[in-house]
Amino acid sequence: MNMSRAVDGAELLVPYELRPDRSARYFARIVGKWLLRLAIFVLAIMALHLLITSDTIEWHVVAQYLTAPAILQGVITTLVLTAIAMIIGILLGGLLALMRLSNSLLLNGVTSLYLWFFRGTPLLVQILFWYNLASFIKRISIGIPFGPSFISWNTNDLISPLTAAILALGLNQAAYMCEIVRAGILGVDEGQLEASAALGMTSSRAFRRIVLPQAMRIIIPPTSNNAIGLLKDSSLVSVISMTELLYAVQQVYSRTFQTIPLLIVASIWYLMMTTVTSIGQYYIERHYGRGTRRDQRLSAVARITVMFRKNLLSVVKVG
Amino acid sequence: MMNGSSNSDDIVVKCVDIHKSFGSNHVLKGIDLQVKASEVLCIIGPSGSGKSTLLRCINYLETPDSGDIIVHNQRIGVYTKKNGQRAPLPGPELAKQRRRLGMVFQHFNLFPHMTVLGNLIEAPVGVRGLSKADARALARDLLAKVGLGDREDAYPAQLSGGQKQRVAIARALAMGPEVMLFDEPTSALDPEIVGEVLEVMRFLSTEGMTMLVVTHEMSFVRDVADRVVFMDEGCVVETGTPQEILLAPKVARTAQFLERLL
Repeated sequence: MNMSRAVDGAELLVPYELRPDRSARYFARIVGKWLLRLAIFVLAIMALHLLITSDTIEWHVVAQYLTAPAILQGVITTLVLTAIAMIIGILLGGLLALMRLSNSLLLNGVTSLYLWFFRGTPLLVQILFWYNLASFIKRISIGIPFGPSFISWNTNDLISPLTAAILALGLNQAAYMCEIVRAGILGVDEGQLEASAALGMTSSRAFRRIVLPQAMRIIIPPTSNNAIGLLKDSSLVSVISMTELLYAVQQVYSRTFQTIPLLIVASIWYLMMTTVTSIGQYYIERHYGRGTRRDQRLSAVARITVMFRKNLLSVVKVG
Repeated sequence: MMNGSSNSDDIVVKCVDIHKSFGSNHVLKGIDLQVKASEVLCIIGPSGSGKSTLLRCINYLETPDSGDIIVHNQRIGVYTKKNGQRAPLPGPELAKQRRRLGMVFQHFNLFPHMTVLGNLIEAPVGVRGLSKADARALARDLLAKVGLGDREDAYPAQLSGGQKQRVAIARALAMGPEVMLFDEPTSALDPEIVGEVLEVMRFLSTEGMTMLVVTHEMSFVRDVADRVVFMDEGCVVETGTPQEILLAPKVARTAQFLERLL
C-alpha cells in the first residue's frame, strides 16, 4: 500500500532513518559508563584483596570455627528461638488483629494498650524486663484471683534465659504482626464478603475460605520481612546470657581474642539463615499469588536460567 | 402472568413498606413490590433513587430499618419471638435464607484466588453440601450454558469483563436459587461486551427464572421485562409493562428520566 501519498501529513509515514549517533554527548556517555564500571571493578578488587590478605581476619580461624559444635549449637538455638517467637507472634498477632477489627470497645481498648506498650518500648528493655520478672512478681500461681491458689511457682524457677527470650521476642513480635494481619484483612475488597454472604456462606466460612487466603497475599511479604528482622534481633538476647549464635561466638572470642574472625563466622551464619528465609518467602508468595497475574510466573530457578542465557547471548554478541 | 388471576402462591418475592436510611439520608421511603414466579421485573430510575439499595435489602446485604421482605411466604432476616416481638435472625439462619436468592453484582466479585470452576463449586460444596463430583458436574453444565465451557481452569484475572460476569451468573445459579437479583450487571462493562451478558440473562428468562433486575439497559427492559418499576427519590413512582412505562409514561418524572436517557 502506498499510503505516503494518499494521506495528508503522509511524510510522517516515511520510514525513519536510524543514523548512528556521533555527537560529543553520546561519546561522553559511553566514556562515563565505562569509567563507572572501572571504578566499581577496582573497588571490588580492593575489597576482595582486603578480605583475603588481611591479618586480622585469619580465614583459617573462620574455617575452624564455622562448623565448631559450640557455634552449630548456637545456630540451632537461634533458629529454634526465632521459630517459636515467630509462631507466638503470628498466633497472638492474628488474635490481636481480630480483636482490633471487632466491634467491641473493650477488645479494641485492650489491643490498643498492648500495641502501645510493646511497640513503644525498646525490645532490649523488654528482654531485660522479662529476665528480671522475678524481682517484680515473686510467685506465679493458678487459682482464684485474690483467693486461694491451686498451683504456684517461684518466678525465678520459671524464668530462665530461654523463657525470658521467648516471651520477650514473641510478645514483641505479636504487636507488629497484629498490624500486619489487620492491614491484610482490611486490604481484601468488601465485595468479596458481600459475594460470600449472597452465596449463603456464614461469616466464619467466608473469612476462612475467601478473606484469609486473599489477605495472605498482603500479609506474607511484611511477615517474611519481620521474620528476617526477628532472626537478627534474636542476637539481642545475648545480653541475658542466652546461648544463641552471637553469645556462642562471644564466648569463644572472649577466650581467644579472635574477635573479627568469629564475628565473621556469626555473619556468615546469619546471612545463610536470612537467605534461606528469603527463598522460602519467594515460594510462599508464589503460592498465595495464584490468580493475580494473567501469565503464569516462572519459578526463580527458571527465571535465573533465562536471565543468564539472555546475558550470555548479549555478551557473546558484543564480544 | 398469562392468566390475570394471581393467587398468593404465585408471588415469589414480596416487599412490604420497606424503609431504609443511611444517617439522615432517607434512601427508601416505604417500598411495596411483588414479583411473581417466572416474572422478569426491571427496576429503573436515576442514580441515587434507591434501586440498588432496595435490591440489597431483599437479600439483607443491607438491613431495612422497617418493613418485611417475604420470599415464598418466609420472612427474610427477621423472626417472631414467642412473646410476639420481632428479632433479627441469627447469622447462620440468615445465611440459609440467602441461598434461595442468587445475586449478581455490578463488579462481579468473583473470588480471584480460585479458578472459574473453584468459584462455581465453592458454595455448592461448602454450603449446599453437594459432593465435589456432583458440584463439578453441575458447574460444567452451567458454564456450558453461559458459553464458557472451555474456561473452567482460568483464573478471573485472565477473563474479560463479560466473561467474568457470565461466570458470576453461573456461580449464583449453582446454588439453585428461587430468584435471581441483578444489581446493574452490565454497568461496569464495555459497551460492545454488554450484549453477551444480556444474552445470558435473556436465556435465563426463557427458562422461567424469576428475575429482579436493576439496570440502565433500556433495550433489555423493552425486550425481556414483564414489568417495569420506575423509582425516584426512594419511592416507586410508576409500575407497568415496558410498553406502558417506556412509551406512555403517566408521570412526568418518568417521562423526564426517559427523555434524558435517549
